[in-house]
Amino acid sequence: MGRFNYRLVAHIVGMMLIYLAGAMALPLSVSLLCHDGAQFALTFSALFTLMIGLLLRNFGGRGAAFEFHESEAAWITMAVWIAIPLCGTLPYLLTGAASSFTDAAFESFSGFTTTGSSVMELPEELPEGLLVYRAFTQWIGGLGLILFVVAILRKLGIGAGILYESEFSGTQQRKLHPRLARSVQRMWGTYIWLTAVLLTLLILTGMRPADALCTAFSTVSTGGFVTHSSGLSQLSNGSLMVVTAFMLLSGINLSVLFRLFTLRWRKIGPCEELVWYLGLFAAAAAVCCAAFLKSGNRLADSVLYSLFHIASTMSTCGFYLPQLPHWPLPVSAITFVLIIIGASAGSTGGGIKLRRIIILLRYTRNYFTRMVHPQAVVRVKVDNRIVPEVYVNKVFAFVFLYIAGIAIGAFALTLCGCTIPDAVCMASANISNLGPSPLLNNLGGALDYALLPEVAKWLLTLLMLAGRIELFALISIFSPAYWRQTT
Amino acid sequence: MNIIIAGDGEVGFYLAKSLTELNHNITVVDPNSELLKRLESETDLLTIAGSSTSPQVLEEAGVGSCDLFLAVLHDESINLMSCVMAKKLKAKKTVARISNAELLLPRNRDMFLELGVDEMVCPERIATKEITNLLKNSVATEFFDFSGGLLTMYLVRLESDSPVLGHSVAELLQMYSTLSVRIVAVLRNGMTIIPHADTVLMQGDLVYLISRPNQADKICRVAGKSEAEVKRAMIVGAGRIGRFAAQTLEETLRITLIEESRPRCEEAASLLKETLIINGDATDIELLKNEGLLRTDAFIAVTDSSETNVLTCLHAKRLGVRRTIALVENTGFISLSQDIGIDTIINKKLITASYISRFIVKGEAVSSKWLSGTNAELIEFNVGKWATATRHTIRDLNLPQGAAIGGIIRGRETILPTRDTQIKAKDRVIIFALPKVMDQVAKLFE
Repeated sequence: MGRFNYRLVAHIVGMMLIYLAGAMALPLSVSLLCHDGAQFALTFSALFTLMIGLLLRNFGGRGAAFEFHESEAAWITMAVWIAIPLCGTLPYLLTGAASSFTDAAFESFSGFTTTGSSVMELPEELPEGLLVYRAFTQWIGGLGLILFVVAILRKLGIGAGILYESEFSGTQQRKLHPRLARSVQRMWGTYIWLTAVLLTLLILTGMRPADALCTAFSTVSTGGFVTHSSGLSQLSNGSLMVVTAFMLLSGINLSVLFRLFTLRWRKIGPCEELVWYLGLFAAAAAVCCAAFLKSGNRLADSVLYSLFHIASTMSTCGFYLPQLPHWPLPVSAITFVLIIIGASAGSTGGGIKLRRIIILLRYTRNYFTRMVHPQAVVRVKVDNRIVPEVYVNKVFAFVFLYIAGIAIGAFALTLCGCTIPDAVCMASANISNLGPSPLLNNLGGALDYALLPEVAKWLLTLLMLAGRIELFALISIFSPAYWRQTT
Repeated sequence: MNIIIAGDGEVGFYLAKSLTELNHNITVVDPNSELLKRLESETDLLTIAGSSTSPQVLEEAGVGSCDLFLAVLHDESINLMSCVMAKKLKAKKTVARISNAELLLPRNRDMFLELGVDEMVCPERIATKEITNLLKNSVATEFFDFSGGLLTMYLVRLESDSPVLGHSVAELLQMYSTLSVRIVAVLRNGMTIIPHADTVLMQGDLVYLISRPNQADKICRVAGKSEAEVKRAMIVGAGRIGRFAAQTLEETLRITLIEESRPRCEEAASLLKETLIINGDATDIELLKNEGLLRTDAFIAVTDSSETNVLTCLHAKRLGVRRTIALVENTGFISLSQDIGIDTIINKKLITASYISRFIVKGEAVSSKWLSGTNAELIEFNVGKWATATRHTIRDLNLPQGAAIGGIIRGRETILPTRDTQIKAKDRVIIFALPKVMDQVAKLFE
């Protein structure tokens, strides 16, 4: 194996930054329209990002050999996922919204990883343009930055299949189109379509356009940034229902959604994960509703809030409603479990993902069959297809790493001075890309991301990133075997 | 009838032999000239060495004037291709043997008709159907519906506690006056007997009887065993038949499937949902016991080896499994296996031949079934308008030895005939006949 192709990585990162600079045009135009005073900061951020991007592409990436090996995929993934959010800190720093680089990085990573954890105490006092930028970062990160990379690699004429595989092999779903580029296009189409419909509905149900834009970005990407410190409490009931429905949709595999919306129903085939997702949603919402009712809330409120809350938790969106400050114990318990389970594979949501849970359950059941019948040939099947043993092992490794991530994260946070419940809640909420602290406060503690020590903030940032890129890329670049292979 | 058979495998060989006996003109096409030589020396037919997908070979075999083209090689794509070509070269009717049951789906039917494949036969699928039918209806070891279920044929074995042992057929009908049955044949020690009124029934006789449906429990009492419901079944061998059978049965029964080869287990695992698949040697009785052989109601042995099937079935029988079904490919084994107590023998060749014979029998035949254990055949005829049979009562009909009338269907009405019954035009008649008299019988109804 030759030397590690760092020039290619520089080239790709450079390209990504140029695109990011282009993306900053959207918040900039909002800023210009609203005269909120952030236009210079945003303009400068865009120019600066563009400059770094051009430098990286034209000097760092000059003469890059346009080929890479499977084992380098993790490096590319990591480089992109670190470089983009780092440059994404510029608007926070230049507008003065973040008091330190740590805060800016926390906010930026939280955005791109669609976590939605925030250190901004009073978002309503931030300039409109910055709010839109913040929500927009979630939207960009929603489908995963790797999809952008895939598009860029195609331009470079490199087989992007490797990266696509490493990102989406988990769903075992056939591509939406024989050609990778078309599949990616179709996913983006679905995503944009969802956002546009939601935006329209929100404006129709009486939201301010700028808020509606931010909320739509936050919902569809299952991020969770809000534009007001009181969460979504000032929304009309109509808007709440719309948001609930779209949170639920966003937790579904995008390929399934594409086929659903384009009426290719036959092609969806058996989709056990969707059935489980909806079943779990209905069951959890029913229990929550009963618990709210029992603690003396009105029926209409209980139904609406429990649907909203469970959709928000399962999709790992993380929106919260301050109307129901005191959760009965069952609601907290269910919430905690759902945070870890997360959404469907192939969706914008985070967490372990239901598909993996199904595989684990089936494997465990098979294990007992094997105990009684030692010679039995049993296979884990999802959607009537056998899940290869290799993949089952990967799921086990993943879940182990996930739990270990929560445990180690919680341990380290406790050392930073958090109480144990707070630490566990924060670790799991951030690795699952759920986010916002007010939601977690209902689980018991009184935590606030803004008041955490710097080390704890960086720790949470790392957890968000790990959860978002599904751990393996992060772990593998720290493993000695991987180093020996690629450098 | 001019018939071309492509393929000299087991099915082809058997078909060729039995069709020659029925006085058809058979031409066999196969690439293996050695096998053909052997076949030609044993049977009166024409053989042509060559590929059935070569137009020249087909022409040589006289495809232009052939009434029926049967492609029964192992490879289904060759069969389909041969049929397509034969049809284009003016064969009247083509039948292909296939192994992928998906092709049989009704929605694919038109596509194959258009291509020129008139009928498709999947031996494994037919065998599976037999097995599932047998388990559905536990009184009869073999049964078959006529005219969409108006009449049913049962095969029962007379057990030691049967009340009719030592009695004649006429006495039986007197003893059970409420039971409307007609006994068409008795199989005793491998011999087929067409019974008279005074034929005495003995223990171990396999009795073919025709009756109306839903008589199962009454017939059960005659036979001397109580009807037992099958809840668990063990299938040995995950070849195509084993897999198909498990797939069909697993919806209603608890199935354990045992297979020695790992890849076959994997294949079964991807197809089946509920079945417990065990990778192990079926001749290892300890393994079978551990996997619940003693609690099994039915034992189905369908491995590739007839010997294994017969032996494991015997073992299961001895350990008290009530119903045993064995796949026996070696036709010489069939009567032997039935003698030693295996309930039912499935033979792919026989049932495939039986199925294919539907396309061959002259006259107005609607459906037919060849019976295992005997070379006799059950055929359903539509009686022609001017048929000889309509002129006399059955007593005066001069039915040849080796043939019996099992039942008559007139509109929606069913008649179990006596000697004084008169057959009318447009009736449907079920005939039990040995092959040598089949032509004579057919003439009666034309």
